[in-house]
Amino acid sequence: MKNISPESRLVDSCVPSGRIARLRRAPLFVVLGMALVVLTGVVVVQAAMPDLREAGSPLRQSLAMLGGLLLLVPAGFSIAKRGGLSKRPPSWFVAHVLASAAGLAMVSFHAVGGRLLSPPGVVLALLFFLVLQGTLARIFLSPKLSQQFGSRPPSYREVGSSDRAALAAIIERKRALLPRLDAQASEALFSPNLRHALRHPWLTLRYARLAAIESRLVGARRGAGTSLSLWRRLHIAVALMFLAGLAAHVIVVVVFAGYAAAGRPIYWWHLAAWGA
Amino acid sequence: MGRLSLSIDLERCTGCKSCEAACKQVNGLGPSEYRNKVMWLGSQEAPALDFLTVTCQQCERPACLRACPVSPKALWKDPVTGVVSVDESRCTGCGECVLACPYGAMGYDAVDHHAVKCDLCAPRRERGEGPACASVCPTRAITFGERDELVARAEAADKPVRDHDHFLQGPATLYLDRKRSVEAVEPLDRLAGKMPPVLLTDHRPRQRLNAEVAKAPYRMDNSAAADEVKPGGCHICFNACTLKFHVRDGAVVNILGNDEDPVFQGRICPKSQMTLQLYSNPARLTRPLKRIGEPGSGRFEEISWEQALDEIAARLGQVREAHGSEALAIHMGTRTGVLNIMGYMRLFSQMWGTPNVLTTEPFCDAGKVVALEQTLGSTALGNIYTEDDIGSARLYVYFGDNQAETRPVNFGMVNDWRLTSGARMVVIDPRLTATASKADRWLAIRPGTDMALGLGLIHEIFATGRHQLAFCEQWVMGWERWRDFIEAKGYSAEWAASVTDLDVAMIRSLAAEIAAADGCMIFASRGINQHNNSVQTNRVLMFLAAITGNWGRKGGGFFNVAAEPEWVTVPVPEARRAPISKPALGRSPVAWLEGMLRGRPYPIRALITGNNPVGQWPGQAKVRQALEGLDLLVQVELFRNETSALADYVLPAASGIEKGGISRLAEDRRIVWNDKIAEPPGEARSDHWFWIELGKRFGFDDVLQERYKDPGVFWDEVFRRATPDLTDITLARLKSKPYRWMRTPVAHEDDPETGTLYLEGSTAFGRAPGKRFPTPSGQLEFWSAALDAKFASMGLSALPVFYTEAEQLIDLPYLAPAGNEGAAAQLSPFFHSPAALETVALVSPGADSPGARLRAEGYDTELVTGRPTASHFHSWTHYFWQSQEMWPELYCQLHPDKARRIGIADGERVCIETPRGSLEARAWVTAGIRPDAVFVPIGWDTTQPFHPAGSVNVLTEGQLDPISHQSNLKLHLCRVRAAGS
Repeated sequence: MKNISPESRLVDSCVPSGRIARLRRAPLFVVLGMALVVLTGVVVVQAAMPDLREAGSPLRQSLAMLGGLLLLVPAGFSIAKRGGLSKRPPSWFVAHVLASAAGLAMVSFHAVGGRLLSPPGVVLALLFFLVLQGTLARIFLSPKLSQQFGSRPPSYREVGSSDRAALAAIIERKRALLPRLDAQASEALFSPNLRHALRHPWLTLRYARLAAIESRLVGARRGAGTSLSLWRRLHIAVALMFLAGLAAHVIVVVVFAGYAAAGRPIYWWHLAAWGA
Repeated sequence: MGRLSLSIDLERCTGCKSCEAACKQVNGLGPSEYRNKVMWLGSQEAPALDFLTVTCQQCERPACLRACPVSPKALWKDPVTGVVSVDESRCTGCGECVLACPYGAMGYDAVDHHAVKCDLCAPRRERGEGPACASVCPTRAITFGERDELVARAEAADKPVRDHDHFLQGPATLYLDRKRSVEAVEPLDRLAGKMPPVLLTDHRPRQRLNAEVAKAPYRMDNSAAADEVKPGGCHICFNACTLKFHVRDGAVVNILGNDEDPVFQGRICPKSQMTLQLYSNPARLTRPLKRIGEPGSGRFEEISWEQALDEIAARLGQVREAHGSEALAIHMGTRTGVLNIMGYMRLFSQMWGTPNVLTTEPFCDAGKVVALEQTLGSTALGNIYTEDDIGSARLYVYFGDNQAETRPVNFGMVNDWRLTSGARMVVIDPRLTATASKADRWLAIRPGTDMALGLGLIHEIFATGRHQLAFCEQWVMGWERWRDFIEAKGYSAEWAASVTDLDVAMIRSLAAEIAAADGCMIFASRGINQHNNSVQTNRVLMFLAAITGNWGRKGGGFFNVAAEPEWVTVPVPEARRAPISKPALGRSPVAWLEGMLRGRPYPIRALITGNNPVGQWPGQAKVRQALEGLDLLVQVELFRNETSALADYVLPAASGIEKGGISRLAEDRRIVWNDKIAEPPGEARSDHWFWIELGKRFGFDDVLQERYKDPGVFWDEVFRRATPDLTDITLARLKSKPYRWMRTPVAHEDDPETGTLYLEGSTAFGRAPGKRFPTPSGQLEFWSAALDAKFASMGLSALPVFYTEAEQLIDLPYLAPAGNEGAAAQLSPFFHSPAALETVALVSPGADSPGARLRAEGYDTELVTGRPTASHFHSWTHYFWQSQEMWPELYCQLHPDKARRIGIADGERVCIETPRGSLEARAWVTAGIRPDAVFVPIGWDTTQPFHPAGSVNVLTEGQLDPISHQSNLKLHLCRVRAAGS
């Protein structure tokens, strides 16, 4: 059996410490406010100072680099959380929120010198979406999560005769696959994590597919409604797109600076000017 | 140790939500944070009511755990016990586990953002205690233990274990199914097709209950044991549950049941637990207030107690000077405690000199009190809640008594006993109440006609020769006269069926069951009492019990909440007693209104109340008008309410363990002692303190002595000595009990406690040898020349002539004033102190009867009022956020047929109208109510903090039972429409 905390520790942690509780609560409104301020600032600067179009100026580029590094913290959160690298994942959660907000501000200051209707502008838009969606979900969807309690009385009805056959088959397939993925694990408690994905990507994918089928057959997630069941998946998908976009942008401006300049002077720090 | 789990018996659960309350207080949960939740499930297709306790299933294959994306997971499963727990220090609050749980049993803390789930009270288990929910469950529906053992126990009890493993997760929590009823045609699965009312599932009204308003037990860390545990009792209702107050750092942090109590064994309902929210409530009155605006303006200034009492005394003096001492009325209810209403208040009123002193009895059970006094000679009911007494009955018949919701613990014991013994249960009620939902048979009687049903049953029993002849001849005075009268009047089962709207075969069958049962407990309560035929209906039901031998035996009897000692007024030395020259205006606040409004027959100009008359007295518009015109209105209260705005002075009261003493009387003669454990908020003072301090202003302190502010001193030196039933219950003996109660009467301090009363061969307490029953004759007295003379003095007969409310949907006999206003005033022969009496006449209905006139005006519906669900009691609980979360809004239960006719869906708003006023409420559409009736609960008030709504007394009139001055609160004609239409 894995992942079992000793019961005494559980007792100690029944009530979250005040520090964690405060950390969990405080950033939400800060982030929402900051995102709105930044968004307003970008729009104002864009409208009022059209001449400030030097996204790669030393200050702006430095901020972009710092902001970009901060925006890797959410990825770090995801890795730490899924990879067993953190003793206190909620602290990482808070870090991801604060780093995203700060990163957004810095990157926005960098981006305000460029054109928003451009591929990097799309990446910035993805970032805005992530910050806003995450914040709004925390504020408005959390109560809906609470309201899920007691929302499924039909699940307590007597089982019908043919309800369970399809589920049993899927569970059997999971059990058959699991020893190859994690010999020590029990199907009852197992879901693949980052280590499994890195060691056995194909098996992990197959197992995750089976788990997804089981989840669909159970129908609990679907029963919670579209917004609750999809927001987080959308958040992760957009985050991946953002990271990909961010990486592409960095590579383009640093290595393919000539392409990025499109005939204009290359005034920013770069490694190569390919693509001119 | 094996796999642990809860076992939840659907047949025992009454939906009281005590488990919810316990879970929240022990785990410090706030609004919307659940580890368990009780769902009420009903149907619009057929009468049905079931209860489902949702809690973690502690699954073998927990979907929540597999869904957790954290590594190592924030959820973990104990390999030995199988308990699935959340480690909040690892939870990032993503909610994946909540979405994954197909049982809807995963909670979420939307403030601190983490999963919340039942871990079967891990900290309590560490201390060797079980989960809190199981420890308090009033019905023993929830039990805890090793799963295998629980399964074996269920099998031994022949209880089917529900298979709800739709998802192949191996849920450990057991749901024991209800046995199929022999009579009812039911679907195989009782939960199939049943859904909760919108009232329960609509989260919008609950949004105002947030972390800002939620106080205790929200976020209280109760994982460690308390510093100290003090025994005491709940002071809210007649169940008088015994409690343990858990104290940490000098503050009460938990209120749980007293597991040392041999009767209750720790069972309690949610209300006593939620008194935590009373003691720390920010809405409590904390300073004396003096009104500085017009009556109703609600403008007050804070003043000192000194100033308040001086000014009140001065103004009382002016009232006495101008109108006499009788112009002061005092109305204090059981909220203020028995020591107050039968002790301190009585001392003051005797020294002041007013006969107009009342408790809430005229609204609760005055009819029963008079009926018992005339028939039994005492208000001390004989039976007690023990397994060998009430628990040994073979049949339980509830007439207008929703015991499951009004005294959940007592009902829990009854239901437990009867399920174990196989005894049957029949409930007669216009609604399918929680009580009725547990019965073998529910008879949806026409409101106000229980007397007719009783007469029909008696007729049938005599007609079939099933009465207990030997008992009748030896112990029932006047039984033959009753028998002959009922026969002569033709009060047959057929007649009863036509009046009550019940099936004649059902009536016959019930009569046969009652007569044949080796012990039948007949329960009656407010559904019988709160009618203007209250005394006579009670007498009829007593007679029904008597002729079937169900008096003075274990497992059989007549019961009507609550049993009381034979009170003797606390004595004031003759020289110190103020003369009273006028009789009381009546024995009901309703009777006072004429004195307040028109000064007839003499004026009442001042009122001291410990209640909320505007919300609680029937006929709100008239009451409001009467109170507005007073020279002085003093209110001693816990919270501001609708009456406060009219009061000249609003004084902050202490309550329960803030003052100590005897708070309530239990329905089976138990009295429970409370020490003072907590300090009252601000400058709040006990009612005791108030009377003593006010008395000082009039020089009463030689009798209302300063040292009586200590309720222990008052109990030992004054109170118990006045009433023989209590004389030898010393404080020392009370406090020697780990559960702090004793049963009355006790003859001598060293005597063993009394059990069942009036058993064959026994002598009634304080009576001459051989007097089995405490009447002058020693028999149960139903007819005697003396009794008949009493009834005749008001135009009635001691024989059971049927009548009911004037406002009925069909033409039935009713009472009307005899129209002899000019005649010399008479005094009622039924009261202990002089009170005016009105003579009445029996009227046969005609086209101009009140009912016919109202029907012609479109008032086509029976308005039934009563207590809401178990988490509420009058207005107290409307200040508790937890009660409000359980049942927030004023509702109106109505039948789907009526809902369709007026175009209303479940959860929409309806308007209920009577000639007295109109009220809006949220519709609860259920087939569990008579098609022509609606039910609106009591207790709401427009000034309440969370979910204010008008009091149902906007609609009521409260016509008096002429014999007892009990108000009719149970039946008025109304009409119902969609709000806004």
